[in-house]
Amino acid sequence: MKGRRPRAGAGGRGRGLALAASSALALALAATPAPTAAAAATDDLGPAARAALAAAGWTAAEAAAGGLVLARAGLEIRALRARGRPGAAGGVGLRLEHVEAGAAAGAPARGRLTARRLYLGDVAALDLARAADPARPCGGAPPQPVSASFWDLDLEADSDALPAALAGPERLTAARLTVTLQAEPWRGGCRYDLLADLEEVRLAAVGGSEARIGRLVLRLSGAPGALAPVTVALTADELDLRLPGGAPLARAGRLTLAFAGDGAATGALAATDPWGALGRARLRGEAAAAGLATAAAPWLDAAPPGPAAGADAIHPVAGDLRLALELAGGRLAVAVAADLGGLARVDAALEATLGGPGAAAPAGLALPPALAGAALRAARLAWADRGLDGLVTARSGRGLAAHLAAAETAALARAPAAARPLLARLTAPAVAFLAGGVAGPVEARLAPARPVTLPALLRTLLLAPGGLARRFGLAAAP
Amino acid sequence: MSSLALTTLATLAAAFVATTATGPLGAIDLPAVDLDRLVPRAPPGFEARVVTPDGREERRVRSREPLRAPPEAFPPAFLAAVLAAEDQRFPDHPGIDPLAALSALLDTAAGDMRGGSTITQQMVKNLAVGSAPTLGRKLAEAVLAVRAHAAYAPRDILAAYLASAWFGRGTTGAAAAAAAWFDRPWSELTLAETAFLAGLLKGAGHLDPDRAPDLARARRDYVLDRLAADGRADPAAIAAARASPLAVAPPRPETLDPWIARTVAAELAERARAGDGLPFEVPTLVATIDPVWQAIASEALAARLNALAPPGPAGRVPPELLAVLGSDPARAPPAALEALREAAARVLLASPAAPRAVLLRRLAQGAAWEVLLDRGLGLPVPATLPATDLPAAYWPLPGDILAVRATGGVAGLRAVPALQGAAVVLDPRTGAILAAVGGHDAQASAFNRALALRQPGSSIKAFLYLAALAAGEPFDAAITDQPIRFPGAGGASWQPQNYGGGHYGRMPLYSALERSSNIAAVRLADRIGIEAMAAMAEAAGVYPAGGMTRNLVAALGASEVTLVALTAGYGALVTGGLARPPSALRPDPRLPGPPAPVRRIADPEAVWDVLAMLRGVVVRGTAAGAFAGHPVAVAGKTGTSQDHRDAWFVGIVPGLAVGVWVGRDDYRPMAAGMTGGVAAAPVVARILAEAHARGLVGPEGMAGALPPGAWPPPLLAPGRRSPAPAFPPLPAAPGPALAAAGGPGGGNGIGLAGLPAAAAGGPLR
Repeated sequence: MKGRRPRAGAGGRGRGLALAASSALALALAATPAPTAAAAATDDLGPAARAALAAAGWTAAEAAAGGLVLARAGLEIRALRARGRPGAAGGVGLRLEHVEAGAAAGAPARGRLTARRLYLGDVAALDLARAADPARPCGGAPPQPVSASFWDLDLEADSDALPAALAGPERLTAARLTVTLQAEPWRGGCRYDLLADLEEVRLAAVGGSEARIGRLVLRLSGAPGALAPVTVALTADELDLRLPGGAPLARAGRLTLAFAGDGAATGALAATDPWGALGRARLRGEAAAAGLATAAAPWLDAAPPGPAAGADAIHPVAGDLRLALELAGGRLAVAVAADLGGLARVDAALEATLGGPGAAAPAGLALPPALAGAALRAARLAWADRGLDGLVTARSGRGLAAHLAAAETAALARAPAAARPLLARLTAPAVAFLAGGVAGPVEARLAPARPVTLPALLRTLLLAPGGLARRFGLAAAP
Repeated sequence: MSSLALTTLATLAAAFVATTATGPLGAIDLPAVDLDRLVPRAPPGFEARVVTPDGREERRVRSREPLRAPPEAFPPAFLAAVLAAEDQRFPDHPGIDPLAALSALLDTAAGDMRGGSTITQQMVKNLAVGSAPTLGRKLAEAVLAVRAHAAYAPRDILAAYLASAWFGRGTTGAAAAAAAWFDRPWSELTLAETAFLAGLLKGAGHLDPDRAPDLARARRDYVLDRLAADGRADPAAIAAARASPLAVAPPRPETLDPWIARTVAAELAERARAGDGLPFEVPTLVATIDPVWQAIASEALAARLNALAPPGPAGRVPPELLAVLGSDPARAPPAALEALREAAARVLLASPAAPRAVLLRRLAQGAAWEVLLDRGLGLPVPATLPATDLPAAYWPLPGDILAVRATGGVAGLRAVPALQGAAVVLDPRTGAILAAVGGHDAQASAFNRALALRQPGSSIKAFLYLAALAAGEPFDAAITDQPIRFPGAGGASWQPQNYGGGHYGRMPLYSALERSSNIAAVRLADRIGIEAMAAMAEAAGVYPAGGMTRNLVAALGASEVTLVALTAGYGALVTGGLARPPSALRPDPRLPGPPAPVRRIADPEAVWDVLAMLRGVVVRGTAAGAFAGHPVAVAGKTGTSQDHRDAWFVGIVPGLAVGVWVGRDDYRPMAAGMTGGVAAAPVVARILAEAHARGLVGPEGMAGALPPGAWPPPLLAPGRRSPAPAFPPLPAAPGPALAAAGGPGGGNGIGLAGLPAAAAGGPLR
């Protein structure tokens, strides 16, 4: 990915991206010698690279134990070897071997980064003072894309409230990481487009579980500020999830996540009324997994074992999965499609409208106005059993229909007596529908002539349950 | 679903968030709290109900940290009910539970609104991230919950959750909930009552049976149903519990003087730190503080403070804040009101019982002002209040911050004293604190000045002179107060000065103390060694062991003390040299800690000479003006710190020690002339005069403290002293050792190691 010019983005990620950008610039230079090799200081920086470093506000000094220390306020980079190289657009590049970057003594640490090798496209990118100067166009960010490549990267989360021993396992390592950053003026400020491309990634978590990813590409576009638009795209190839101890949990050929939102959508992250903010937002998101493969056993409780528990271990689940969501002008569309051999095929879609600020929740429902005034416009659910019933039967001796019926009975028993008839009107058709999918594909559609709000739904249920199907335009088909 | 698979997914998600969102590239700041100190190593906390000796006044007293108990201390039915109602999969999930969240969403959609947070998440919310309804907060909560699940045992998480949960009625933590709602210990609660308390975790505010009895009962029954559904209780018992009425105890009155409660709270905090914590159940403890003595001390202090400096505003809000309010404060921007509230809160507390007001404008007719009234809850609101009780010397201006107090049911504006003070009365024979007044107005300021560290000035000199006598110095040994210079650090030098700048020349020791000569004191400390003085002051309990600065300046009171500790130290003189740590609580076997040690700090003859010197202070020394014609024969010592920042007087009579401090909270100097003899000694004089008038104390002190006719000690003259009387032995140890103060100036924990060698076996005369 080195040298690839990023596509001009249309959004921003706000504060997160600002941190990401500055951190990437800073960390791209930092390095502490990790090796055990004899620390014979090798300084091949050359006068041009030294001058460029000085111009960017960094000092370069030989370390007492060997190697080179680059430092500026709050940051420190150690490298065993450093070499100046021809850089992009006539600048000076920098190549560091065995590097470690982190906060200097006394500065609040937010993490640690080590790499066997780091190549920075242009030393000028290290000029943090210029980047932070609001008087310069785009805060003084370099006009050209800046790239940094790391080999054998090891990234640790910052230490926080918990014991230091816990910070270690939360670690991301990669055989290679290339970060490319493009900055350009935007509305008096600066918009960034960040591309991170990683190979052979391992993400280790507290407790020993692990994710291995053949290749991970992350793209963030946005501007600082909670109300700036942002786009996020992540693609992970050859995903392999492992249980603590290394046993496989699931694999996926490709996992993709994509999100694009306007300022209202990003502002919802910090809003005290996120539902209200979302009602004004435009956003689109999609998550998909292709080539999913897992076994049923790890997902099922080990105890009590079913009568045919042995079948669990060889019950494979494989297929594709997709979830899409779009919100604009208060109109929400959600679609789910899954075709998982050994489990089920599901195809569902929903169109609805979020309520406005004046919407009042029905009595007894403390819902935010955006949900209280939500209206259903259309919905569709189709599903067919592809092995779920067999799995359930193998474990418990009873089929899915029997379990659904028992669950319905339990739910009705838990409900207050006065609410049971109402609940029964809801659960009975749903249970019948879900049980029906075992026999073959079933489909239900809701297509009301006019959007139906939650209060209207409750009124219909209470006062005219017989008109429910007509009101909703409910149609079910085998 | 398999907890292992779920754990793997959840922790991988949390790891991704942690490394990418909270790490070097991150956008989410995890809170800077040390969960280690809040979960496995949390302080135990304490809570108790404190009553006065006559049983008429009481108040709940608790530590800042909630009372904490291990889960097994609660009835099993309560733990089962908590898990059934709050987190059925605890601790099998990895700290977060996507299934529970989905279930909660579905139930909410079906009309049964509930949250999907796990117990671990709720613990993190309570202790670390707060409850701001933002997605960023939820992400941080999830990351910390997963890490906490991996780091801590489920027992510790459950204990931390129960200790941090809100149960209403001013109660945080389950341990105190039984007492708060049923006035009984946990062990005596029924299943129905236990289920009610578990149900409160959903929201103690709206489930308060006093306000919403139907909701509260429905919630209790819901918890009982969950217990039945999970098979965690006998069906017959569940049915009986459902049929029982929900009857909570009425809230207990909170009538005890706040200063008493704060003094007791400080002592309990010290005990909890020193021992293994207080009992799990909320005990009822009896305070030693006597409401009669408390009232006498409080009135005497307030009267003197008002006389020393005319009351006025507590402070003034900046004019620019007033300008932003505009002409109609009812329509002022909330941000402006909030800024004004913050400015006022910095100088004066407010509560519904004791509001504060910011003056806006004087009304055209009558002595009334339009004000912004702040009850400590929400934003200030416009109001009109009479100003008839403001002192004539005070000219109110817009922006002034005043207290609001009710007289005869009518609220009015009240000026605030310009000076603060504290008063302590204790019985040195038992260590019992009889009165502890921590300030002028307990409603306006919670800061307990009786336990604050301040420089004692010359009031510390009694222990210097006692150390000298115990080391063999005759009471009439000659000492001079001619100027002297001592070498200081870095080539500098220090030259002590007498108050007023004069010199007396050569004089006997007793005259030097009666006149409070600074130069003589420093010369004496240099002669016997500052270590000897420190050992004596620490043995007497004025300082904790090693607490006094080993520097000649400390001979003039530069090393800070608390009023309680200093007064208790003086108490050790009037017992004939036996020091007993002070306590605001009667002995109770449930209080942790060893029995209070009684320690001899010096032989009675040396002590008697010092008492004679202190009698000279009152008769012909620096406190003579305050005690002329006083009905009680008092001995004591004044103290004034540098630039009149602190004024002290500690008076002693057999069976009683009375200490008073006057000064400012912000350490600004008081007016020139505000010495201990002028500002503080009159308060002690008034306390003892009032006590004498009420028959609480006789001319020779408390009855039985010394043989009749033994008190006061005759004034000393060259070569003339009287032998010490037979000091009665102290009563048996009243209870555990206690703290006189929370800081380094605290006077508790006097160990044998702190006993000066000379005091233990010095020359007797």
